[in-house]
Amino acid sequence: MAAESPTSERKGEKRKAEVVVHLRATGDAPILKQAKFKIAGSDKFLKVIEFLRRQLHRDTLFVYVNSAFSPSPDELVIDLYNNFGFDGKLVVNYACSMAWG
Amino acid sequence: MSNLEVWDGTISQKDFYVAARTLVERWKQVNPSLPQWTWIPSKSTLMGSSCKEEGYLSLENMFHIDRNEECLIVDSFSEREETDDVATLVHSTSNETHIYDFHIVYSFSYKVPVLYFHGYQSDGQPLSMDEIENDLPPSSSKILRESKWTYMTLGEHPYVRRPWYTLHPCATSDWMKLLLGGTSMKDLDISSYLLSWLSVVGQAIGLRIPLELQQSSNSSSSRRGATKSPTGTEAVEARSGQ
Amino acid sequence: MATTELCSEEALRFIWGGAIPLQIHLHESEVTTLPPPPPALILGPRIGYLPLLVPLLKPYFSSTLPPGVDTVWFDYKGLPLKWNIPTGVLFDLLCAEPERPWNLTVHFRGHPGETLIPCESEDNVKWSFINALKEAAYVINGNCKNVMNLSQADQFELWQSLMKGNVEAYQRIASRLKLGPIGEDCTLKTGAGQPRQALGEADTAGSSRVGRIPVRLYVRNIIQDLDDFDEATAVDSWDSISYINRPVEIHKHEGHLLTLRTALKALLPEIFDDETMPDNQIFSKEEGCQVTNPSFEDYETPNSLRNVETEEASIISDSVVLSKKPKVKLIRIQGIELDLSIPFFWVVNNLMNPDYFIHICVFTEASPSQVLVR
Repeated sequence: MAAESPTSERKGEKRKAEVVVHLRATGDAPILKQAKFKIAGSDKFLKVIEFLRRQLHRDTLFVYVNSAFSPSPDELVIDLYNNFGFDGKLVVNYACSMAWG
Repeated sequence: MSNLEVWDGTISQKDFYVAARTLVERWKQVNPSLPQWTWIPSKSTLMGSSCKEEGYLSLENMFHIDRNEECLIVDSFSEREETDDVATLVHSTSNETHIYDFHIVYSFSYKVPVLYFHGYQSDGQPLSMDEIENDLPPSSSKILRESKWTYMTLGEHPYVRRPWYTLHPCATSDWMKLLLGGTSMKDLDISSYLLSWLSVVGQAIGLRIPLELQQSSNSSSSRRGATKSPTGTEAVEARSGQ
Repeated sequence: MATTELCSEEALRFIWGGAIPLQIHLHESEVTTLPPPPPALILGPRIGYLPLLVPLLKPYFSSTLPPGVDTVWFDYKGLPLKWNIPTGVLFDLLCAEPERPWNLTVHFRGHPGETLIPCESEDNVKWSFINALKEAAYVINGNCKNVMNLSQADQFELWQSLMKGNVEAYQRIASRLKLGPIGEDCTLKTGAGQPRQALGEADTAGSSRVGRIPVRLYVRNIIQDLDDFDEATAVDSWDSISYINRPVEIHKHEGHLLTLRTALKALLPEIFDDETMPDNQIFSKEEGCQVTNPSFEDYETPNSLRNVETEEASIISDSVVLSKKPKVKLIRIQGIELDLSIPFFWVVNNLMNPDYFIHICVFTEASPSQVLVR
């Protein structure tokens, strides 16, 4: 599985370790103008979360993958892509409401 | 209940038991060397439902190391003791060791799982709220400072009947509903409920949840997508939670 | 029956006005003066919480306290009292035979952190109350929005009303929460007589089939076969009291005729079974109910015990053979000993605490042979 590469199907002009992240608004979250962007696979998922925080001016966000789980901020983007990527990209859902009690 | 109804993010007590068994099995596969989740049946003979489904999940003796790093790791106590070099690492980062017990209890009021935890030093001395706050991931201690009374407080553990820290469950069904993506009852795989739930709760308390734990329910569809077929993106949603 | 009042104004006033005469002694280990201070006499509101009395007690005892930091707690005959349980419920539960004045001991030091949640300030009590209210709202409506959406000012006023026993102020805020009253069919009446419309169509679609009533049950077993509760031994540990925090669920059309007994039976089927029911002409109907509770068939009759085969079941049957079921001795809510045939909707509407929970104390009685088993 580690041998799988995100962009191998699209020839070599892109760096192998780049991952396309598709940010998808759910719940009450505003939609971003630019929903897709590239990120180094060696980056931590925290970078995606921080990007969203900056874009949305929100401290608490609910960020999750594959309609199944919320990745830890220290997961590597490439690991997430390899396990849960689909169709050449990693879909990341975000919502603003992350309340506890 | 109709299949068309949109799921409300809650789980029944029976399904909680089913999901608990899934978590126990998956955890064992993924983390064979860590302490294991175990099902503790309720001892009470009073309640009507006091059958095998009445009880809670327990993960005890988790060893908190690395208090100075940004991302906290909770690791196995037993594993630490075996190897000298790691023990040195523990020694170098903090002068006292914190051990945590985690229990997952079903709330009949909220119809969701609730986390209870308990931290103590190696001599058995319970940790204060301040010490626990220091052990939490930064994002979590921030929430704790901002909403002291509605995030994490001491409460009575419903089975142990002692003061344990607990994460407030009142919004759990809301974020579980978001997390599992407005799934209809028909498509919902309730047995993976606790795996999804733990991915969020684990971050709140600094319990590292390995990525592999999440693969069981989604690996078939996502792997297929990642390697070959350029089918429509929307298929991810349609297939999720099988 | 629209003309019938679902809630009795009088009952509400009795509940808000109810108070227990307390005689509070300072624990001897904290007495540093001679003679020791006389006990403090205070009226403790039933719907209040013990730590709320501290502002009155502290000046009274402060001159005799040893130096140190205060963490106040109370005990009754050595049993540390859980402050998050309303004072009236503690009294009903721990004084099988009402003791007046109720003799409690206050401690300012040596808090037993292993068994009691510390109460450092009024804020602890306030949030314990608000969180209970949220829990009740969730049980009733499937969400806590109404409580969460209270403004800071309203939340403050709601809390102050409880502290001061101001029932009008409480009602003013609480009515906005739309958590009651329930009708005779035990479903929620929201506002102007529209039966639970909000529940059926709006945001709680998933749970709309079932009405849910917030209940906290405290079950205490009195061991001796006593005629007089006076002789009942004091509770020496909370382990001997079962606490059940579980809503009573009412399925459609079941709500009519629901009595306190049927509601309790749903939570404690083992105790509230047919034998304890004087009017049990509906035996066959009750047997039908067992289908939903298959694990309890073995408890029902001695005959069925002979048929058990599995290991698990035989373990259960051992204890059943030795012990007869505990008998219900007494049900107490808000200090009132209730008849089991009273309609449940009346209990809910009139005897609930300000946190919207019905706190029910159940006393059971076991014969001495049962004691051996436990």
